[in-house]
Amino acid sequence: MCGFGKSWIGVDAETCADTRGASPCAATQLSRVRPDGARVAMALPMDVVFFEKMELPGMDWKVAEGLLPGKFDLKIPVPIEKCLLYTVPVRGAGEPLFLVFAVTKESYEARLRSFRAATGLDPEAVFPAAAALAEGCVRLLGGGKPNAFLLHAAVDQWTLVAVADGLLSGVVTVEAGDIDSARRNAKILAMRFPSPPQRLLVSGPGAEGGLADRLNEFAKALPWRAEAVPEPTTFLAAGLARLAASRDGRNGFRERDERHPATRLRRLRACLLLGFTPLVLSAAAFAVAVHQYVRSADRLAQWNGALDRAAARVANGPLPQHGRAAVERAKGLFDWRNPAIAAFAEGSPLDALPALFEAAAARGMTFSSLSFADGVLQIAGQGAVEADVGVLRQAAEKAGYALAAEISERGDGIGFSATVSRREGGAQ
Amino acid sequence: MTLKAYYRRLVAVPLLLALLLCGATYAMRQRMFANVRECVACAEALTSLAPHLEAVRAYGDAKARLRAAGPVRPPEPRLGVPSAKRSDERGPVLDGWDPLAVKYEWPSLKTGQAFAVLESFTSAEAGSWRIAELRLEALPDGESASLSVRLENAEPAPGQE
Repeated sequence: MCGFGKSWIGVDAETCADTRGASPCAATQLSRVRPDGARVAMALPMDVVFFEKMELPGMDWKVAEGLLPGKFDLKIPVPIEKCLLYTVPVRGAGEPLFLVFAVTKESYEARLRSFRAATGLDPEAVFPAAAALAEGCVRLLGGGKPNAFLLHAAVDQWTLVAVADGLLSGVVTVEAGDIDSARRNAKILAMRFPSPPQRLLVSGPGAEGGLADRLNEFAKALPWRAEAVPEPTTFLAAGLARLAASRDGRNGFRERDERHPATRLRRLRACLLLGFTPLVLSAAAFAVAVHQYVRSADRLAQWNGALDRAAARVANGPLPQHGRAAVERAKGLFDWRNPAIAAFAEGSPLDALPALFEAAAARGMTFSSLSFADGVLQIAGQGAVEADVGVLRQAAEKAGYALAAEISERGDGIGFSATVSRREGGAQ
Repeated sequence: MTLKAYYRRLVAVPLLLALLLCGATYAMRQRMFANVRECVACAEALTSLAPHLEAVRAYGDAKARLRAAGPVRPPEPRLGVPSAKRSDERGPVLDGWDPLAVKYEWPSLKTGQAFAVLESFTSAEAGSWRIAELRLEALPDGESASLSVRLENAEPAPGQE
């Protein structure tokens, strides 16, 4: 059982590798692990791919990207309408800069068919081999902006890739084993470098068996030294996997071609998640809000019912108004009580008389008159000191009534005239 | 429609619906808060009605007491008290109730007797009768007082209520 998990897998001839370069199984066994070809990337050989590094200064990036097909059409021998394009914007460059790859649809379909026949897989991504090789080269040299050559020695052809300032700047394909041709083309490509490259990396199945040494022997006059990359056999496959896994890669040529079902499903899932997650959350919030509103409406209805009942009791009958309006109306209709009986419902200040008499007797006070009418008790009398009236006031308050007094000085003490009435706050 | 446009709509439509739902949720919560505020106002209104409700309750209690007491003769001054000028009143029947009143007047009475009369009229002996008016004035001799007391009652009118 292959242990690729959910990682992208690059396939180069009979070799496959994931982003770390691990190759747990052969390409022929891959169809059992990934029968639908999801997260599988293949490489198009550079003998069928046109490449150009295009800079469009003084333009907006979007406008420049829109003009690319037209400008690239002028550089290739076939009409651009018959090609599939794969463009890589080089972000971080001041002016719009793109790596542009194009392949005729005919060649693309042919290579795809032969890949499907060989592996039984429909790959989800298709990249130009040079893009994956350049990615691997830059990564091997520690990132940044290295200048180097990379010679990928495949079985059927050799691909020479020039990486200048960390970017793919030139590609040449030569016949497999033609070292002289490789040397000549390297010298030509070297002119594109701002400074001469110092290294010539060698990858591919042909790299094993001392190809780097033979290159060093043959090209003694050249300023660079050839060296084999670690894991040369899986170098391209691993580069393909990393390119596919990166954001810039997307799916290469298949982005413009009919999308792979796995791609469509993944993007559909992402769209649904992005679109429907907020919808579900907002629907849940709405449901909670509705529930709370219904509860509050029920509670309000209960309150209004209580107010209606209370108002009906106060007004001695149901009212056409409801809620607080009924309460206000009821307060205005409170005079329905029979006054002959209402008088019996209210307390009388006469209830305070025993307490007042007791307090007066204790202080030696005398009352000269007592009168009670309309709920008000008036008392006039004499005492020794003003504090005596205070004692009377306390006795009245203790009985639940208020006492207001006017005090006058007399020769033998004080005279007072007091009014005892119900305390404020009740309904009249 | 291009695939990109299709994906955009696939995201935009539910997002738009989510936005509409957010707006509806906000409106619903505003209405809920309005209901909560209204409930608070209702509680305050009910509190403001408490004294009226208490008065209605007391009125009902008084009515029940009067009905239970039934026709009661007016209280008489205690023995030993000089006879008083007495006048009886009967008011018009109102809402099925017959208001009654009796007035006693003493131009001069020993102070102690005056207080004894008051005590008898305010005690249980008086039954359901209540003092509606009272006037007690000390006379210049210091030992006597003039007393005027008006007692009221109400009873269900015969054949009514």
